[in-house]
Amino acid sequence: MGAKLRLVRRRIRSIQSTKKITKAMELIAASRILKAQQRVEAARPYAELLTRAMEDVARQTGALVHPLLEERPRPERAGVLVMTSDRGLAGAYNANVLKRAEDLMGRVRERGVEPIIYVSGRKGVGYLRFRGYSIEQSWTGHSEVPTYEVAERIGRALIEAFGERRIDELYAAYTDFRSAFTTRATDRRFLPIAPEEVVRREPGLPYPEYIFEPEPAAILDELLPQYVVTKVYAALLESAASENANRRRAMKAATENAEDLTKVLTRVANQARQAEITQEIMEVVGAAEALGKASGS
Amino acid sequence: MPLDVHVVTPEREIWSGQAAMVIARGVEGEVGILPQHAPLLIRLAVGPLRIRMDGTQEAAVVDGGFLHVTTTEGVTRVDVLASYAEMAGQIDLRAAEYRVQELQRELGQRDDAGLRAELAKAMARVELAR
Repeated sequence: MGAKLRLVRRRIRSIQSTKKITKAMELIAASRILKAQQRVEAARPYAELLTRAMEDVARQTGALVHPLLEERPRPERAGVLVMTSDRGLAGAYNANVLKRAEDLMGRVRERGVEPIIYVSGRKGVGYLRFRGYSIEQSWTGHSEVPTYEVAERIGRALIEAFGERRIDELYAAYTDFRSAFTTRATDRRFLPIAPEEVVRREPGLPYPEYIFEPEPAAILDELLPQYVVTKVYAALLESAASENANRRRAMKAATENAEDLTKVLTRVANQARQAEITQEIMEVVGAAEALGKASGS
Repeated sequence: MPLDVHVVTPEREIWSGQAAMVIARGVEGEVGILPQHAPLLIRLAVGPLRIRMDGTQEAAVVDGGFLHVTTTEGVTRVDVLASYAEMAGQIDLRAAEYRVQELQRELGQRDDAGLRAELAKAMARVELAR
């Protein structure tokens, strides 16, 4: 076999084994999108009920008063929580959310507030460190299937930072999952909580006999941090669904690319094979003619 | 009118259905909820949650959280919101017992409020699963 043919065949084989991998990753990502979506749905009732409980507290006490709801008059530092993935191979997923995060930090700085960076996901840690940002704290190893436990760890750490006035505000940059085809990098403020966010309905008249144990203020002390953790959890879930949606798309493109390449290379291989055969025939014919000439004369 | 009961954790709703009575352990003592109970919002302690139906009973263990009771249009709704909760039938007794032993060993070495809270959770599971 000729050198060129061998080379082309080797490339085809290698592309095909890559294709098998990308195809498998595409299928895995597709099944994970579905699971992540179901988890987003499953998390909704709790958040809804938490809000309802807070609405009841507001109804009984007139208005909610709590440090987590208070705007600080002259904020100096704002926590910026950036949610990225642990692995790449997800198209522009990480690039988009990191761009959004840098944009957010720019806006924070414009107000004269210093951003303090918190990161979830290895990719974000790598990128931000490379760009020379200092990272206050990071959490990794959960981006594809975030559990509530992880959200609790992150949420509690940030609430503590807020309580100790290491940060005066908290923002999060993450990726909103719209559909398997549309995901959008976005940012939200998590702290302080806007009161109208937790009390959506106009509080009606207080109920005549409402039982609180312990008193409403102490209950609120538990409800509000829980609410923040739930928001972190929801954002992690949305990000995980988005990550998988982007990965599926990227892997689908890679698989199709491999198919196209195989097609082109197969033609090249066929041509090379044909050239070799032609060459051989020519050699045989040439030799026969030479032999004929030699014996005929 | 029976109670409309929902046991919900941040990850999912672990149980919902109709019941005659709900008994939970609040931070300030046990509470029993019957239909038409006054509105209530209390903090739960780590412990068992019992849901009585006509003749049968469901039990779960909750690691704290809240009990919220509201009545709208004659239907009394009971929401149990817990960070972690498990139905009695889903508790892995052997794993829970192992966890109790492990935590007791650790507590023998150093005393820590977090560890003690974990031990209470594990013990509540063992107690309920037995």
